[in-house]
Amino acid sequence: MMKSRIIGLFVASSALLAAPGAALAGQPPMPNKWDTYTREITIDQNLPYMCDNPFIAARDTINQLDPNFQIGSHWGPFSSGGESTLSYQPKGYGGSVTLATTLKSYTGPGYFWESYGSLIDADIEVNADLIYWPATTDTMRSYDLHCDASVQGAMTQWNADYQSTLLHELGHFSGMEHRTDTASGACVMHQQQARGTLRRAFCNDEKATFQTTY
Amino acid sequence: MRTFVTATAGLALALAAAGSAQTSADQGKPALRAAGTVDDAAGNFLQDKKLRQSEQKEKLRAAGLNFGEVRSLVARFKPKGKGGLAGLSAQKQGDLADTFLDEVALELATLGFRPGDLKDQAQAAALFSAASDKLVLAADYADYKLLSKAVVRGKVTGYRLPPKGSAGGAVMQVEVLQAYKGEIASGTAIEVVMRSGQDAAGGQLKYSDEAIPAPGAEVVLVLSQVAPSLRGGSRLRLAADPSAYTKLLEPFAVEGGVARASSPGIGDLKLSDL
Repeated sequence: MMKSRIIGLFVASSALLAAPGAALAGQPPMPNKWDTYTREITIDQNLPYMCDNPFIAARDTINQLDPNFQIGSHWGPFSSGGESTLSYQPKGYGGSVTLATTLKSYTGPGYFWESYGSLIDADIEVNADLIYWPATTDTMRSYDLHCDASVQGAMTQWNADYQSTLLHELGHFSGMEHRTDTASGACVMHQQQARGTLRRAFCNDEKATFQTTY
Repeated sequence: MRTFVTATAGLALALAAAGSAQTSADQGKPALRAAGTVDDAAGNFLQDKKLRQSEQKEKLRAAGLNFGEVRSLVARFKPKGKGGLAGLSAQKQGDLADTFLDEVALELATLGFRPGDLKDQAQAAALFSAASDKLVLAADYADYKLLSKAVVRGKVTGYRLPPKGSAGGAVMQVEVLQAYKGEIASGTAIEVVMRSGQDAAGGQLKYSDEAIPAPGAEVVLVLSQVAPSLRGGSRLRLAADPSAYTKLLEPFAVEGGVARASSPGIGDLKLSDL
């Protein structure tokens, strides 16, 4: 009963995505920003090889938004501090689990529950348990991240697009927060990523927020 | 317009780039790594995962918990993880299955379920299924409720941060208004461990997937009580108070009679359905 309600929600979300590019209200001003306008990310060498191209595509989507803010990247061993990293962290053991997260470090005014100020470091962590390796019979219940191919396919309503997920995280990396509107739609910065949907381009108000900041 | 280097060309570039070499958007196209096999990628995954699992097993052992017995009880139910992966050796397939079994058992043991809790076949089967679904983000609210110690509606009253000059996680302070599961009386003040917090210089560290409701907000919390020594999942040292709760899901925001979800795969719920 409960599961079928959730599936219904995802189907509804997919239908909303039929109008790509539509701008929805709800993107707040970017509360954090880098004071230096180029950033380099070290990509954990243990990430699956087939995940490289989706990362590059997501990174280039950011870099095409504004020439004033550019993200570079190289592959290297995982480093837990001192430089920005994209790593591959298994999740679980008691707490909540998620597709991916960005850990931001910043200084600035504001209470703990607020977010304003200059970014010092930002690291992206991908839930390694959810990477989908090329397969034909993987479990249909999974929320796996597709690295090697589009989510459009036989498992459309069950899987998540790695490129869309990384673009969302790179949005956080750049300083964006989640949207404040609750409706799911074509924009990238919604808190939840509906399964089987592609969000590989920012919508207009997200682009405007980014370009105003940098 | 950007184009990507081919995997073959990338091999030479990746070799040249080994060590400290960097590519940046300013400098041109990035080098792709040499294309590896699915088996290689699975090997890297298993190496990382087993390291993480061995660390958690050691924590359980140090806390005097019999993980082996929990694992053998879980094994009877043959939980099924990824299966039928094309291009993966039989050896790696077997390793993945074993690793997933360990993962389910570690999840249950960390949440506080003991061999005695798993003797009842029906109860055990439901718990194994819920823990398995949680790990692959297929769990629904009913699964999380089953795995939880308590489900409450409450009002956020504030946050407790580590002393100035020290790094650590924050603690969310909540006044309970109503309990849907567990023995927490309304009016009780509880504390919930956060993964976000502050660094030693007083800067803020925040995980983007962690919801941080402002004081005064009404929330629904699905809580567990993981021993402080077993807590993980954050780069920060987490609160050591044994009475503090951990979140199994990010807080639902209460709007009228609806609890709005902020965790992936979980839909909004009516308060009357909690």
